[in-house]
Amino acid sequence: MFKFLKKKNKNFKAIINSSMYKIDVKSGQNLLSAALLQGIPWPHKCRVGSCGTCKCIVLKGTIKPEIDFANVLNAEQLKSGYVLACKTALKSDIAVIVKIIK
Amino acid sequence: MTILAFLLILLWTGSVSFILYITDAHLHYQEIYWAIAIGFSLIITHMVNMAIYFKVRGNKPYLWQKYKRKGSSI
Amino acid sequence: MKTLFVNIRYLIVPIMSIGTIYGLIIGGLYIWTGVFLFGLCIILDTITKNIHLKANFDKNGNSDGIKSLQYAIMYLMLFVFIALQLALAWRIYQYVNTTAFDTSIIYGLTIQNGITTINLIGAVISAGLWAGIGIIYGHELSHNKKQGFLMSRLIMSLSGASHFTYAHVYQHHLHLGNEDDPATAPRGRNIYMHTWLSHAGQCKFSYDLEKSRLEKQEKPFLSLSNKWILGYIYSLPSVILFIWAGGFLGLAALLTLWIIANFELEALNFMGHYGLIRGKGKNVEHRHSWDNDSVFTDWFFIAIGRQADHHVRGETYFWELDDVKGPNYGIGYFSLFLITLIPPLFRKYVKKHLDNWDTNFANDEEKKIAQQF
Repeated sequence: MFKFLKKKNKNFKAIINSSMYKIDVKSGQNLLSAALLQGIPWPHKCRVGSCGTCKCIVLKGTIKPEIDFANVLNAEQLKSGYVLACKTALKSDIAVIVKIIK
Repeated sequence: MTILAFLLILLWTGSVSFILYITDAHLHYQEIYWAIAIGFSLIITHMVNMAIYFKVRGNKPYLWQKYKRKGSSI
Repeated sequence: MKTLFVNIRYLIVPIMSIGTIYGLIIGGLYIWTGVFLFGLCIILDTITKNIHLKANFDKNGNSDGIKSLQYAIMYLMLFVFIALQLALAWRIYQYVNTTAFDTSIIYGLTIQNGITTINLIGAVISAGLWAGIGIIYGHELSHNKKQGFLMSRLIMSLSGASHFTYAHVYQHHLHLGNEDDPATAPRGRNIYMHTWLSHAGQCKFSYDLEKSRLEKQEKPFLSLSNKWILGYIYSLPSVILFIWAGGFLGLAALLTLWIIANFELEALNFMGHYGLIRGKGKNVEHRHSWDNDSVFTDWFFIAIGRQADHHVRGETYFWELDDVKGPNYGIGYFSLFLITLIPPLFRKYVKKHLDNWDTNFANDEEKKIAQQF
């Protein structure tokens, strides 16, 4: 009955660390979840945007922040393009850099 | 120190209540501007009370040591 | 059909909250509707405690929950809780102004005007019990969009707990399971002491957070840029409403409502993490929260009982949270809530569950800490 309210899924692509990894991120899914589900050892801890462990730099593309990153990231980090992957949804294909420790 | 904190809270709240009483706030509360003014004073009173508690007690109330057996450490 | 079922089963609180408002408006004995419904919930929760359902996903792994619908409901609940306070304030106004006992018919509803002292008490308790349930929406919205975060603050401000939104995300999720999280109750603390300490501790966190942030930005603490102060400003309309409606009595009614609501909020924190331990800085795992997936608890509290999955996958929408075989009390939140009201009974009840946790869930570091209690 309510199926008409369901948004149509739209996938975007995220290129991580200059093509080291390429993942699909569904519309509404956050970057961290998508990465973890596809086996990428993305650093993370709280997954709610409070610890900053999952931060990455967006080099290209548009994202939608799901919370105010300024509560965790400082002004310099924000200016450098850092976002919190656990609270970042994609609005286009993106390219990011993240410190992955294997 | 908890007693001190609550004594200071009582003192502050009592002072504000006394000022409200002598200004006949209890007779005018149904006038909207009085209600707004009383509301502001009481919210400020509450904030000051919380600040008093934080300043006097610090982080001590939240530590778990008091629930642990004597001689144990974190 | 499945989509319909998955989305409407979480409407228990909206329906019962509106029922409570209806009772307040109709008057007479119906004023006690909120109390009656709360009691009904206790019974339903107890008799369905052994029914556990997993989250629903289709063969592609997609949930049948509809985000836009669920969010619309959550946003609307702010107005439902405002209406709850308006209805109570109206009854207080009638009491203070000794409105004559008669009936009016408004839009087809037969309303009993005037209110006795005993029914006024019933009205305050009814409103308080359901105002406290607002925490489930305040909690869910605190984890999502910017607008959702503000809505969470506004819903919580109706109970004087606007600080919760910041403290829950930036303190509780970061520090749960150790003493840096005031919302985690250590072994030996009772629910009454926990209500005050958790409320004050989370409020202090918000206070310190703002003090630090404003110092860095070289802005004064006493300003509208201060989100701790702003949180109390959001509560101002409630305070003004109840003062205007009933003066000292109105204020007493609001304070009672706030105490009941905050007691319920902290009861959820108490039940969700009592006695569980996590080493500082260690990753949050399923074992660090009490899971509660009995069906009525799950549907009523919009899956807030699925704490274990929620704390590991904090970004997950409530309708997608699942049973992850975390530590479990074995009874629903309403039943457990009654037990917590009698601290010696609660300690006796929870002992076997904590012993089980120590043996089967805790790692060596956590076992060592647990032994100290």
